[in-house]
Amino acid sequence: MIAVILLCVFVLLAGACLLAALILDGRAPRGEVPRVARNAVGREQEFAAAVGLTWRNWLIARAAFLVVALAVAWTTRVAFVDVLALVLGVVGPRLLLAGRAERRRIRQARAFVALLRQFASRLAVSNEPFDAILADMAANAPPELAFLRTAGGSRDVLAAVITAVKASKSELLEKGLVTLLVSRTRDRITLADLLQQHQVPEIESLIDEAEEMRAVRSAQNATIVVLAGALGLMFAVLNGVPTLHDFYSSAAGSLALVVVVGVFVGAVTAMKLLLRQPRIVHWNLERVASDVARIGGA
Amino acid sequence: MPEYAFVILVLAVPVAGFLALRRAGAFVVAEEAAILRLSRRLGRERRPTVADRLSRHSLLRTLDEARDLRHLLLVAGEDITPGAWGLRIAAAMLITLGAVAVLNILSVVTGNGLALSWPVMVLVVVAVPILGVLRLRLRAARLRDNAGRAFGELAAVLAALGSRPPLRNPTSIEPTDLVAMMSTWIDDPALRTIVAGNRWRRLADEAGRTPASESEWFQLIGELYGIHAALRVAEVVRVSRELNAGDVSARYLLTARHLSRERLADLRARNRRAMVTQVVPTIGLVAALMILVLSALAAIHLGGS
Repeated sequence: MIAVILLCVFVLLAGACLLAALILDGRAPRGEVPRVARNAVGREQEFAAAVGLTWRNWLIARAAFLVVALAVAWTTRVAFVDVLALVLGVVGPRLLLAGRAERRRIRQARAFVALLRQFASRLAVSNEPFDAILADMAANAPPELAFLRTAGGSRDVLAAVITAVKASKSELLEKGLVTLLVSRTRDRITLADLLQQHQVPEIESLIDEAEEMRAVRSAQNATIVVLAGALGLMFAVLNGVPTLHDFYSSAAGSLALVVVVGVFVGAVTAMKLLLRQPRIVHWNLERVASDVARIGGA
Repeated sequence: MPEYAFVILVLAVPVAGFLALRRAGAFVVAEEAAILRLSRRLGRERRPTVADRLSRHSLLRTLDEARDLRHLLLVAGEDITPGAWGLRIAAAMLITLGAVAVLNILSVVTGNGLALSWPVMVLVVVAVPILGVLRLRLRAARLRDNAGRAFGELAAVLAALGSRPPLRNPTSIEPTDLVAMMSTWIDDPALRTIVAGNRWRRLADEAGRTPASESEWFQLIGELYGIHAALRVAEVVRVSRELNAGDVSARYLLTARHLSRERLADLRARNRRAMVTQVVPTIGLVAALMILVLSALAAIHLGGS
């Protein structure tokens, strides 16, 4: 028997070593933050910007939510619910605020498109310099784009607008600004015409795409939140009965709760996979600006 | 025996119902259902030959694609040879086999008998390479989708720049070419996977083709990687030398707008189709609620007795 166990362990280790060698290819990453962690932090920062909170405030809000979830879980006096509260405290805020974040993004993008239209009109009918129009538009930006107002007073308006849009981490705004940056290679009249006739409608169709994705995600999240709420309420009622509280505190009850959570998580994962939405790309604005300047534009 | 018949019936009824619904077009949008009905009627009237039917059979086509592993790896953006990929799969199979064997041994040692029977163990191990190929196919499909979006964006950028060519030498993409620049402007790696280090040339060499002009480069990429948007850009690049800057811009923009409209239409159709299949996971969410209630009822029942 021992020989068989050793053989199995050997097979397992051999496979693991082979896989590790193939994946690492002899180069062990040193002193670098793993890509998965970097991406996770990046996505979190993006979400915080979408909700309209600073990174610090977002972390505080998350911590507060986690503490509240754990406090509520503690009142149930069921060990498994404490573990569940930890998970819910981590995933809950994003699930609850995802719709608001996406709606805010789309409102911002529509306001930006309106600004682009005004910009193109002024470019076509006046002789004001490009940067002067941009500064004026940024200084008088609508409330959705309030973060652009400080850029309006900057000496290098374009660089300040690029920094502000980059900080907003919105793919749609980035797309709008790229259009402006790249189109600067053309003369005023052509640029105005390009913006009004073609570029703005193209951005609008991208916003429609984002709106479609938002509608689908909102419907999914609403279903998940309502059923999770129903599940939570049902559990709270059942847990109030002493016999059932004893059952949920036992090993068999914990196993039943694990199955309930497992089925729920499996269903949510299947739902998200079945209606997986495509991703709109982010633009490296500084790189676009420098490359366009190099090839004879802005 | 009647028990088996009952289980088969329980399994067969939903499957038959699903197939019947699918045949009736329940999972497609109205416009698509009309096109499907029309194509079926035309198919019956034209009476295709057996060879024709076989060549169009998706299973055969799938097998043919899976056979060409080198092509699939290149399209999926995996920078390894089929041999290295095979070794990786062999390692994953060994790990799975070892894990399942350890699980069985532990189960036997604790006196519960075999956790997984030997045929099931073999099936689990055989599933590893199949899942490996499926993962590759999924990655290839995702690369096609994302690269299609990137080519649409490229068309919009080319429109904004006017008559600037997207690349200079179709046999080798330089970092100063607009296509290469564009691949570094967006955070999606799909276009970079094709352009960086002229990776596309490996596929072109496999196919024994070399592009002679800019438009041929786009045509070649479109055909080799299966990217529809690249073929559309190729059409505009082909005629761009005969047009003035304004007309070229307008054509590129028209292409970019058509591509984004098509993408939106595809997304809407896909989402509407998937709305029907969403019922299945929603039942899962309700099932979780039911399990909670039933476990409580069972506890009361056992406590009472």
